[in-house]
Amino acid sequence: MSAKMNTYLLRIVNQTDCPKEERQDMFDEMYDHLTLIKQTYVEQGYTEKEAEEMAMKEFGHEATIGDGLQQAMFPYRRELLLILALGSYLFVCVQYFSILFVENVANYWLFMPAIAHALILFFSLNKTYIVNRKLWLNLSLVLHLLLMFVFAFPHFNDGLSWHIVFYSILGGTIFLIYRTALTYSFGNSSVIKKRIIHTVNITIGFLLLIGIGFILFAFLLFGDLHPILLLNMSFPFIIWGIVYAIQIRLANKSSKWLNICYFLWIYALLYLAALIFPIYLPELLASDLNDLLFRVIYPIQIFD
Amino acid sequence: MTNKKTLLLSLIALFGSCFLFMTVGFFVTSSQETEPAFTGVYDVNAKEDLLVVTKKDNVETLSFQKNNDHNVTLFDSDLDAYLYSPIFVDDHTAAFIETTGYEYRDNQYDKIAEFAYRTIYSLDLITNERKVIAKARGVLLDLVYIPAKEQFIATGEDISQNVEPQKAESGSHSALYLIEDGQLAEIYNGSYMTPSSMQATEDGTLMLILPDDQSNWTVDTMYEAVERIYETDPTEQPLQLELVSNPDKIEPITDFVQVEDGLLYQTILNYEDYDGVFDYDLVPFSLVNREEGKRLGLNENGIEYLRAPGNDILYYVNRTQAYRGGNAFSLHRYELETGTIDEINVTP
Repeated sequence: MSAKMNTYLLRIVNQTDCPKEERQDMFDEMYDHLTLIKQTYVEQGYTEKEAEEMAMKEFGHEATIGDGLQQAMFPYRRELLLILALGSYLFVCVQYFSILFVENVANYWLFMPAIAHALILFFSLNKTYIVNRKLWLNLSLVLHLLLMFVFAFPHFNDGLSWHIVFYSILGGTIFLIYRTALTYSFGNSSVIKKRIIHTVNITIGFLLLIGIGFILFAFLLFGDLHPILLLNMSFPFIIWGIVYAIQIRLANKSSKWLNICYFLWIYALLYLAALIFPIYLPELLASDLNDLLFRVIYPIQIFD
Repeated sequence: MTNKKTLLLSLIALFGSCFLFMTVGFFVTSSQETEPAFTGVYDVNAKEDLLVVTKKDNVETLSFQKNNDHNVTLFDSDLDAYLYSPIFVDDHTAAFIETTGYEYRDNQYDKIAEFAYRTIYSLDLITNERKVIAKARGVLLDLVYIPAKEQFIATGEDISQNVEPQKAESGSHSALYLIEDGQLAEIYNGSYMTPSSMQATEDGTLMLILPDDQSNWTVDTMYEAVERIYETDPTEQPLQLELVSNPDKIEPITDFVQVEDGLLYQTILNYEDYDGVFDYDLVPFSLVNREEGKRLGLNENGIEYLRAPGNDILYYVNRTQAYRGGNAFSLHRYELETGTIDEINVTP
């Protein structure tokens, strides 16, 4: 196989959100198919190089094929992403214009989520660039969730329908985050383990976002966001990212250490306990234990 | 169309429409911005002449308006300074406060009063001759003139004079000041809350609103205290505050004016049945039989700065909160007998 054909097939399989071994299977299958087409052209009198070129041309554009494979694994993925991007953008526009014409105030920052809308729109329509990977799409969806929550919350209107639409958008985004992470082309014990890891870690990530977001919001309202506070609040996300990466890596290798690594989730329980007990239920624990738990959420303490 | 073109056009359409909508917003807000804008600060005398403060390009202007005629400019503030509490002293004299305002540290709640500059001026409405009544550091908020005793009284926070102000240790120090010969003499500091709605009575006493835990307040009483109307003789020391409003009233009073046989005050009608929005309204209170009358039914939550130039005329400011874009103020004249409401053009 020539280097060109090898690159061509690699670009196709890299367009899909599959683990390494699945991609190797796809690669082999497409290689056989491509070789057959090439062989047909050779038999028709073309040179090896010409036959290879023509076979690749007949096979199709690599990003388009990869996108098709991805679409087969996750039906209506493109349509759902398109609805989310355009629906959220429409929600933002309606909110912007209703405030503009009713209250004569132009809230330009309402368009901040448009950055995430553009990214999701790109992933929805893209059949050209080889970037349709789970990680990038999910990062865009998380960004969308955060930007929509921070900038497009319908404060301006107490009407239930606005809030239903808003929470439907957030719910749709959360669904797509889970759905994207859990998409695999086939299921075996390794995939089941990975699905468990994704589900638990994504849920922990959301719980951390809610808990820490609440603290940050309270500081933003009644105090100021000190860099030390932000540093302290970033620790659980750093630990979360490291634990998530380790577990996925071990699952990919089918490592025997994976079962032990599940215990790393204890950090999340500890952190959630530290968020709940010292702040909301301090009377349930001894003061020393409360102080210790407070240290967990605020490890770096600087006193003026 | 190739996928590359579709992608490019979609992203251009998305970002292009964002910029287009933002431009539309800019033009809509620019075209509707009213400058000079009424700041909500005004006074009205018995002839219904007006002193109004408007703002344009961060400069506040005090104007005199007679018979709804054109405004006559009396005073322009320094850039970014504020004009507070203009008052009619007599038919041809006004007084007001010019201030640099609070300083803000890290956020809107962390404000410093003690380093502000304040000047109280008097102004001849005919010759426009201006005199300094007093200068101070700190925040002076309200000014009132008691004609029967020819005295100026002011409320303020963290006031100092003739010395370099010191950073306040904790909280702010609210007090009532008697102004004599350019000096601010503290005559009352018994409450954490700055007295509000100060006004003189015909016989020379001072009426004001204070919480009922004044003089013996603690952190715990602050949450239980109810704002009530008191009366006092500002020349007596120590100041003796006498309760004017009904001592059994459980709803706080937020503003008031004196009318023919009593008071007309703003209070909360659903204080005990609070459902997320307080129902403010104006209610007459007879000082003769000490009973509340029927609510006026203005049903405007943004009503403030009440003034009663005559017994059956009420002036008030309506504050409309433009969403996240600050406040807009309008001045209204209300005929108590007929219920007729007119909006006053403060920039004819």
